[in-house]
Amino acid sequence: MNFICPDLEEIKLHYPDVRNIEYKFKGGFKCVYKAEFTNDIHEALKTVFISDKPENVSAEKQDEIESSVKRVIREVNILKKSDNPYIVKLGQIETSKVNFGNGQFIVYSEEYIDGEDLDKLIHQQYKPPETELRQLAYCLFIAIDELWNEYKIIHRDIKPANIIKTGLSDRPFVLLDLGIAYVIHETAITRDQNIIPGTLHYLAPEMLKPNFRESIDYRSDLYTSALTIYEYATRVHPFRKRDNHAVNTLTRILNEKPASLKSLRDDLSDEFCGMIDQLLKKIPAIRPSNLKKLISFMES
Amino acid sequence: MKLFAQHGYGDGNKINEGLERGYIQGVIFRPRDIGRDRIFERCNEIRNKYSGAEIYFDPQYYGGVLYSRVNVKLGKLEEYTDYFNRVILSELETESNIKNVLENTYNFVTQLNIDGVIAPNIVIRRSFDSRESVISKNFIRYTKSQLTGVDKPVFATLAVSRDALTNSEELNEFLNDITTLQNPPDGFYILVNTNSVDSRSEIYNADVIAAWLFLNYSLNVNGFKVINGYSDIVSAFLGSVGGYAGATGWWSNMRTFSLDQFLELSSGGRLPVQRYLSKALLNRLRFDEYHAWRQFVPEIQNGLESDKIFEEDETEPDRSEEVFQSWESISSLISELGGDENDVGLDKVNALVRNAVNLYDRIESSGFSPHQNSNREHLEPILEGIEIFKKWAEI
Repeated sequence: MNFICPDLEEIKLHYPDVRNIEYKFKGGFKCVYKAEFTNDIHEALKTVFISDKPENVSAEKQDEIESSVKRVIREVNILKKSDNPYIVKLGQIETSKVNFGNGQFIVYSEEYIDGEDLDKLIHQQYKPPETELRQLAYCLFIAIDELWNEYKIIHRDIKPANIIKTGLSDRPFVLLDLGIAYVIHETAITRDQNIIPGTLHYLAPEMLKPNFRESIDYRSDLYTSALTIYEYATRVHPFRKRDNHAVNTLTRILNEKPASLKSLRDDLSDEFCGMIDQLLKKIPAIRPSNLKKLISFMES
Repeated sequence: MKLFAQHGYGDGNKINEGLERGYIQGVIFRPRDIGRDRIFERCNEIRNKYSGAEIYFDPQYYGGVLYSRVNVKLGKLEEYTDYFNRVILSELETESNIKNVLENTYNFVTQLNIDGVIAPNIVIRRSFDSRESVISKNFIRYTKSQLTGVDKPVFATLAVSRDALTNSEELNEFLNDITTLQNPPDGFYILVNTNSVDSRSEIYNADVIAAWLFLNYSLNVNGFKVINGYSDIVSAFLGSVGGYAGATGWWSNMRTFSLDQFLELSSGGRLPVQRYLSKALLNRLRFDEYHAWRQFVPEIQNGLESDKIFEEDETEPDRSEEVFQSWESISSLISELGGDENDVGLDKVNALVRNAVNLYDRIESSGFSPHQNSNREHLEPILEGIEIFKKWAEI
């Protein structure tokens, strides 16, 4: 995505009460900063690019943007009700649209979670034991259960980089980025059916089908959870190959059966590996969908 | 995988005897062939005599769709006025009417001494993309919520034509919907509707076999118990992918499901020839073929207790006995194929089919020409169906 992150001065100007803003990273449509608020609390401040500045888009397009932003804010605010320990909490900045130097952004903040994301741990060649993998699955399934059954929301972007291992016993893993960037880009801001939400390597196969938006449900999140657990356990992404061309990757997601988890981690139990393999099936109807049973399976 | 008797006309002592001998583990009654007063007594009788037997009652609500046909033959089903009536599809487009049908049926069915409640539904006759499909899905959606105060599992009926099953895209979408219901049933009672119970190709078609396997597999993965009605020999294959039970009876209209069972058809009225079910050939042979072929290819004999029913050469066995040979053979097949991982069970089916091909080769090279329903036409679709299923299920 071709856009420039808002610079620190611009942000400070817009949020004078926020101190010590520190740029962290850019990914997809999003730029992430660490910031300190008046009560000494640190939060992750996030800006999501939505469009060029108003003067550079047509009046019709700008109308669409305004109405879509309202919808996004409504949806994001639903999440304020959640007190699920495994889902990141929204922060002090009210979600709103802000014009920065090079475009229009949605800005919001989340609690700042200390810990390491799973992507980093994978690159450090960390090999988690089964108890930890079950704990990770448990946290993710509880989060998916709440998002779907309470708010009818699908995360759509579960991947190692969006999960923090905290080292805390009451919330060992926390799921970040409630797909907000994709809520935004699923609205009339872009009606392009060719734009696929989510990160290429972490797309569920059904998200590559035409009109998938009409029938997608939480089983896509179960799939990406299993994919994340698989990669975290093995340090191997089943569809990322040396040839990393997007079309080839998408073809593999649609057609290639991943090697069984057991074949790469024979120290893990058959039951656990079987469950993760089953959640990675291409057709949603043959992924186990009973969240209560899945949660209890991981607890056991 | 359990095998149940698919009840029908002319029960006599067959079900009792089948349970007694241990060939079947339960029964699914159908009201078309048993009066409203008698059903109470019959369920109690089985419960008292065979404590381990599972008892179910298929309300056959779907039969009401043919109510106005001139040649309709609803039998004793019309005695069940508690819930059975003419089915008018347009009325079932209203959810409250569906809830009423479920409630009325449950009010009657739950009085019976049964192990689980089979819910009413209609048959999806054409495709999953149809008005009937929407109605059927709504029946399934409310199957559990309308049953209150009863501590028994409830099975949603999913009755679908073999033609609809051949559209895998639509089947997947339908399955996607029914596997994520807010208040799901405990299980499913699957019926595959055919256009004719006498044509093997209606069921022995690669796409139909694959879809039937896939239904069992998907529903089992999602935690549902699956009872397959009228599944006959196919029961054994369905068990190897997670099916809980299959069922079959003594006439062809209890071995293959068709709405035609409610129509009076001019068949000429001749009784069918008695047939021996050969596990090795995965098929039923005319009794005279059995006697002739076994001299040259003895492997077609099952070596089971019930073989003795067909011991007498030249003469047809007692007609009321034939079903025991069928039940024992299918039960034995189920035991051989069950209890393994899906891929192992299906590999065993594959091996069985390949063996059957060899046996047919030997039969034909001995100079025999099998009759139409005894030949090998079912084998290729089974093999192909398993391959299609394995591809879908990524096994």
